[in-house]
Amino acid sequence: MEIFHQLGHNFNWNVESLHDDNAGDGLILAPRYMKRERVEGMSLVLRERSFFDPQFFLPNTQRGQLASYNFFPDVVADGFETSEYSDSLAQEGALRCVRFQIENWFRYIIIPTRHVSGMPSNYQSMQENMFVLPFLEACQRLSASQPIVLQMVVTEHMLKDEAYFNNLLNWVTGLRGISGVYLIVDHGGRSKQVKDLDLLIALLKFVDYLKQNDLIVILGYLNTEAFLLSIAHPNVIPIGSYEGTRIFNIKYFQEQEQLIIRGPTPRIYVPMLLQLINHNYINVVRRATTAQGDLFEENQYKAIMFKPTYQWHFSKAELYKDYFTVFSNQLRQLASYKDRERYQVVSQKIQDAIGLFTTIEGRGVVLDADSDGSHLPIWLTAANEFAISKSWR
Amino acid sequence: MTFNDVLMEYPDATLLKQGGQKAAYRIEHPVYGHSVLKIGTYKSPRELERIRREVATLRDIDSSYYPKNYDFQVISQDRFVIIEEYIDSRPLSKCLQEYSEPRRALAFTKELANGLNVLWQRNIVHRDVKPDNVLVVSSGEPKIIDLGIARLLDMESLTTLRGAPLTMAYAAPEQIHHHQGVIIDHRTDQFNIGIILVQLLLKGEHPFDPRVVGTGYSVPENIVSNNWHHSFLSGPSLSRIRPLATKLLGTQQFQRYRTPETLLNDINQCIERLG
Repeated sequence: MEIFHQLGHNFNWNVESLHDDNAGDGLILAPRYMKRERVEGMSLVLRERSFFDPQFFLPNTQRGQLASYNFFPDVVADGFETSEYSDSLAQEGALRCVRFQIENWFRYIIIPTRHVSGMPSNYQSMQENMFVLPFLEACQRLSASQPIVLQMVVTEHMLKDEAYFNNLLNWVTGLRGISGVYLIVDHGGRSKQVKDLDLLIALLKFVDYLKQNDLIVILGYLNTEAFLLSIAHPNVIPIGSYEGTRIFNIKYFQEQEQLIIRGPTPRIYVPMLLQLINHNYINVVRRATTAQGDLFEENQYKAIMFKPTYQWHFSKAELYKDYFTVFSNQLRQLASYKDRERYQVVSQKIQDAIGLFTTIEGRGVVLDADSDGSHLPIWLTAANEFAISKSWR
Repeated sequence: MTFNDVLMEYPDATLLKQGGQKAAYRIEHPVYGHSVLKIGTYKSPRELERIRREVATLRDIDSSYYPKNYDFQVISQDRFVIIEEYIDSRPLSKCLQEYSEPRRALAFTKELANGLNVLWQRNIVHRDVKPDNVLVVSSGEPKIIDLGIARLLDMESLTTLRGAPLTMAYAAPEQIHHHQGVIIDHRTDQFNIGIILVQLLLKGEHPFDPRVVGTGYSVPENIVSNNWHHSFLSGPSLSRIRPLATKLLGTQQFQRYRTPETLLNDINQCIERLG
């Protein structure tokens, strides 16, 4: 299991974290935020460790730096219209995009996808005609040697509807020529942590079935639920800085350059709690858990942030670099465990975190809804349900 | 419909099989030697196209797992004539019991999968693999026949799912439970192979037969609900075949083998484990 940085706003923090702190294993490059010259100007070593997400989610919306790529559908078609994105335009776009990915020696070649809502009945044919078939053809024509990975953005409804879930899996596992799936879940982001039990169980099973079909599974846009999802043994798990890279939200590709509409509350990741907590609570949480030792892992970023004079602000790099370091360490520890053992470690960590939250609450500390452990019983149940389906429990 | 005008050319023709508007004869052809002469009528351009496709497929694959096609002609009165390689064989349906020994059943299944893989590699799905469509030659190897509803995956199918003359007792769930978005691919044939494998091990009993399963449901209903007789696969040697059979008989295609190579690899491993 490898850890890739999902790049977005202030992507330099991720690049520095990977390079300077050895946090993570690679980068998921984002044309929405990176000009073509910037991507091509990266060192070959870095490009080989990374892959490029074409971000065709909204093919008619050239937000950010997407216009600098001559294969973005709206650029190829000089104004994208679904009905007019004919065979020749789709093929030309695919050819340019695949050539770009080959020439930059990225780790994988990604077949992009467009974003859809709900459960459209023409999902498969639309994706096939617009992207899958033209890209596979382009890969063959250009003799691509890298593994070809299909991007899928699935909605919570697609995963939770049994028939749709089955159809999607039957389709993607039947595509000849792909080696893997780059899977993104659009769950609406109603809460910072995913608390939808049915969705989590369905997602674990979806990943597991892809793995059973010998497909590489790269997960994209995940918050700390990446820890739970590790029990399905994906090949790549993402870490990201701002919420826009941790929770997939199509709005970030729709709206004008206003990534941060309101300044988010600075939060700090506490690995033993499996939660990002409001920085205001650091001291009370520390006092409440003295008997358990320091919940905050020491590193150079903590040394800066825990100074009394530190001015907490969401735009400060150390907040995110600390998260990259701590969370990637935690995920790396899991990588050495397999199957039932990994499930046991994950479920034990969740139970330990639930116990710590009980201790904290017992001391009268009332955490806000985005800092408390209300997601943990749901995660534990999802893990247990998945373990039963795998006969691990 | 009479075929006498055609048969006049082959005075030594021996009737092999007759049914409906078709007949097959064994003949001694002046060029091809021992051959099969198939004469029949077609009722629609669609049916003729289906026949043409089968002939074209057989000519294209040129494999020892399939009979060779020598000639095809459309003649007067909406009739067609096919001349094919004569195969001295028995249909598998008549000798299922002879393959019940696990190693023999697996070896035969492997040959069947190898034969179908010739089609799969060309993006063709047979769609009607059943013991009647598998001939066994004297060496014990299979020959696969009746590619009439085989489907080229990247072409619009002439045989829509609803109209396809598939055999329900050997149909995969996606062929029975057809709906929008259903996918037919090589994994559909895998399901048919799975039934044949278990049927061989069960000495000819159909694994989804309600009498064998012990329920009152019909075979297609049992197929759709994945209700098959598997408890016999629990002994020390047969239990090694159970994962293979279970995967082949997965209700959903994603539960079966994504690639023919992984299927063949698993069959080989099963054979090795049985020693």
